[in-house]
Amino acid sequence: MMTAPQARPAVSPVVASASAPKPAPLLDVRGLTISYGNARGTLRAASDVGFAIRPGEVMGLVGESGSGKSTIAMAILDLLGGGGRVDSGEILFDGTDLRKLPASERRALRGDRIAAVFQDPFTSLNPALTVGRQIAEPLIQHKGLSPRQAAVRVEDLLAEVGIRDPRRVAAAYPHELSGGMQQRALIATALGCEPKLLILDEPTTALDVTVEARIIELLAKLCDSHKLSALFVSHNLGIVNRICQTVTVLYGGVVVETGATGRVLSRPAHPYAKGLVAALPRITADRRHRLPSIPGTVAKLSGSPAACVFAPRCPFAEETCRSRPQAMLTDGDGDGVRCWKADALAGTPWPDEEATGLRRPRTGETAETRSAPLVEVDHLRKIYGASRSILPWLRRAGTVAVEDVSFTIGRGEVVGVVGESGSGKSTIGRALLALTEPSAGTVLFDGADLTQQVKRGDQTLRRRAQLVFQNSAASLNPRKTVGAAMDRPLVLAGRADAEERRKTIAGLLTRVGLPAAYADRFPHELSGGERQRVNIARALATDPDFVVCDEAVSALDVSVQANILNLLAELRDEMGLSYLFITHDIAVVSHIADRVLVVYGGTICEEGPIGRVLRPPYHPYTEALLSAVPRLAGDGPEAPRILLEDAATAPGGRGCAFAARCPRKLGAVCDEQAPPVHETADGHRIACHIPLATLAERAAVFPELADADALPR
Amino acid sequence: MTDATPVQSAPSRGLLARLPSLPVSLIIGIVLLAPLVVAAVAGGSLAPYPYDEMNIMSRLQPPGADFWFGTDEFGRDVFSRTLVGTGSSLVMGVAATALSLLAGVPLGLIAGYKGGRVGEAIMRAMDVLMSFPPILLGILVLAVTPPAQWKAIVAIGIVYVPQVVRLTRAITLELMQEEFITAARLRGESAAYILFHEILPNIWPPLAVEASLRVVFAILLGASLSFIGMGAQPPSSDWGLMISEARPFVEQAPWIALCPGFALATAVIGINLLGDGLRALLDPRNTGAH
Repeated sequence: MMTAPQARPAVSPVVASASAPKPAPLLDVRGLTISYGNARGTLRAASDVGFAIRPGEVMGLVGESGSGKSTIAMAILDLLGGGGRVDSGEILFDGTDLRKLPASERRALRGDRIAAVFQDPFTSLNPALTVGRQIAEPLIQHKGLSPRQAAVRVEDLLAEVGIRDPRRVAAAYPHELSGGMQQRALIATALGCEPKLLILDEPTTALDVTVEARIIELLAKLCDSHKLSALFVSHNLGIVNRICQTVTVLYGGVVVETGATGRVLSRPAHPYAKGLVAALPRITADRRHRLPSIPGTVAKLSGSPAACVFAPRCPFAEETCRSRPQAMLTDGDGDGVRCWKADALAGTPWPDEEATGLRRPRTGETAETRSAPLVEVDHLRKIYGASRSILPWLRRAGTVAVEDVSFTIGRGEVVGVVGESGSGKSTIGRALLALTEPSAGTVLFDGADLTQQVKRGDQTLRRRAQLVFQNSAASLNPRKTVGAAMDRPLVLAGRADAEERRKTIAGLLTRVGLPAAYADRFPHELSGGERQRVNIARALATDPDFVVCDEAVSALDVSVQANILNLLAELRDEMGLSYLFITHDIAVVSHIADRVLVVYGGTICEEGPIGRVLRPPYHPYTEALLSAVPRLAGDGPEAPRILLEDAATAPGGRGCAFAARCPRKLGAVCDEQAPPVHETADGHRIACHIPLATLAERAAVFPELADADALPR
Repeated sequence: MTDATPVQSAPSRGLLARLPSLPVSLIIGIVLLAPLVVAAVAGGSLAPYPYDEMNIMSRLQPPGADFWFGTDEFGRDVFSRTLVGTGSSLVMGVAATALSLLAGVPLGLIAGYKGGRVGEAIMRAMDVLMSFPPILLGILVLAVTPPAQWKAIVAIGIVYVPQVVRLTRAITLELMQEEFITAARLRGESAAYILFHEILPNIWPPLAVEASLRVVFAILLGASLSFIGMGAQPPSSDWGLMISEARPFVEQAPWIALCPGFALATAVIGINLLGDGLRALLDPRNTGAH
């Protein structure tokens, strides 16, 4: 079998001259094979993986869940746990094979010359120790500083990662800091010993988009100023595009493509990379079309691949692909692709969804012109943890989750709710389903108050409103088969005939694109995407009119996400469903929603038809959200990014909720008065103190959308 | 749980065919417990001597050909007495545990599901119960009336209710956060259905482990009650009673305690392994070779 490390020396003369001036790589991984073993057999997490990172270079390691990207990062850090084992290969750091070093020397390297930042800042910091002490730890451990010297250095480090009040932050405990600040503190920890190599394992995935944009900016700046090399593990192609010079694409534990970021993301050579790039939801895409998607699910390897790992899902696959493993073809510029058809496919794009993928032509008729709306939300307010008591010391004001929100959802309409964590978007969804009782205001479903009905024990109306969850695993009872989970709603609906119910379930499963035989499976036997399909099928089993999708595609891989979005769009068109589509990702919502609410701190900042919200005038927060949407090379020029301050205080009080972070804040008026709502004829509303005319003067974040005719309506 | 699943489940394979995929701990547990169960059922008829036949000529005999595990201070055959005592000891453990589960699981489910004042009331009552030393609680129940085995079972059952309630409540609270419970509420399920069909099946595995530990503790507590004269009464036979009776002779005749002690240890290990095996078996993720 041809392998990457064997292929690299076998270069043509042209290549040799081209690669000569390049410095030796700082990290050179060769033929790395990792497997996880348990009683039931072994699973190959990485097969013969090879890549190199040169000094000062940031390499992106991208792939979907199960591709082995985190396993590789952990193997480099020598932190493989849970039965993971490096079977073969070399991990050369500065020319020394880390695997041959004794454990004590490897440990000395870790945290000193090789530092890491992980995904979740909330669990990466010890809640019982001050932030300063945790940053000082490696300085004392590796550099032999005294605690007093370390404390001085800690403040310098915190200042360097953009924390304005280092002394206060060093003395703070993790829970006193926002997620962004915590991640900055962890980056400071990693930088402490002036490492040569940073391992960044999804360092921004757990953060809000506006915070993510700032952290990425910081990392890019630090890598540049410290001449750091970094391995940037991510599933997010847009982020990789911003920060990485080179990128290595993994699929099923195998490197399928490697090369300069600009080239790989604009002209991917491997079919899988083509699919990944195509499946990414883009704000600028024509919304009348379905998103391209990759069929099937990620393969799991149990041994050396006997065929192309991607062949089962590849639209270009032919017999040869299935009969022998693919060799890495390198061209010497560092570009490599593991597909024998790569050259032949150079100009072929990923295939579009078939003609049936075209959306139902939507006429000029909008929800407002039809009969009464399906859902009416009027001055909804929700406060958590408030307690009224005659005893003053027992009174608590509580936390405001939703502050005076009003909107309607028409029949067959999809309303998107975009906001970051703590914006109250999930609470709005729960209030609409009578899962939480509003503190004030009303929610009318088809003209009736759902909350009151549920209180009286009348569940008939409730069954017409369903929920699709974010976590596809937690939303299915692990002890019930798919069929049993879907059977209950039918039983409750009074369908007595078991045989008939069985047929209905089979029909629903087929409807969401699963084999009917899946009724006998347990949730753990399904992939994430399949489970999400089961969730959708279960929601449909009560024959609802309205479905709340709470981050329904956020936890899914890009290729699967596109599949599920298309399915939801199809169901909407065929069954006339209304959705409330809650998400943090404005690009996703732009694909499915007719109308969008942008929420911040429990209030609606901007509301309107999707085409209007994506074009100026923008609410300053919407503008920042849009500018934070990552774009791939080849998608057009990047708009200047609007970077928001980290939130210092929780939103609340009398003024505009966004005032504390607003880059266009006018002054005291923003803090003290609730913003007026500017409304235009086409239902576009912006709540801001800045006059509409001034807001309209801003340049479009996506100039290609400026022309109204490019939009569906 | 017997959900009326309309979907035909895959043809269920016989237990024998599934033997290779059964948890090892379950198999060992069964192997260890099987002889004890046989002894419990057929104890008297297997015993080489009547368990209460005294023989002053052969008192405190060391183990030998006639008396495999020796004799006690009244010349009674230790092995026979252990065999006969198996039933009483196992019944004590299993019945007391069953009693504490029967009372504790519903209370724990309600405390976890309802929360608020109902939950608080249940949990504080359990705290009161827990604050009594177990032995004292047993004595309290037994002291006022003449001792009898069923009373000891009730006393021990009550002693272990709080632990079962706490465990059940903790798991229920955790499960209440799960989205599949929200999904059940959304389709209009009743509280009873959610408790017994959605939550309870997920509580069984940790409860099986807990129960297996409880059986062991119940046997030991029963032994201590017998030891202080509150449980099984002489001349009837019980492992705890035998060990207690052996105490004054530990130096001259240690074998008197050896046989019941060994039986007790086997039961403890066997039941623990059985509980662990049950937990693994009840987990759908472990069934079959998917």
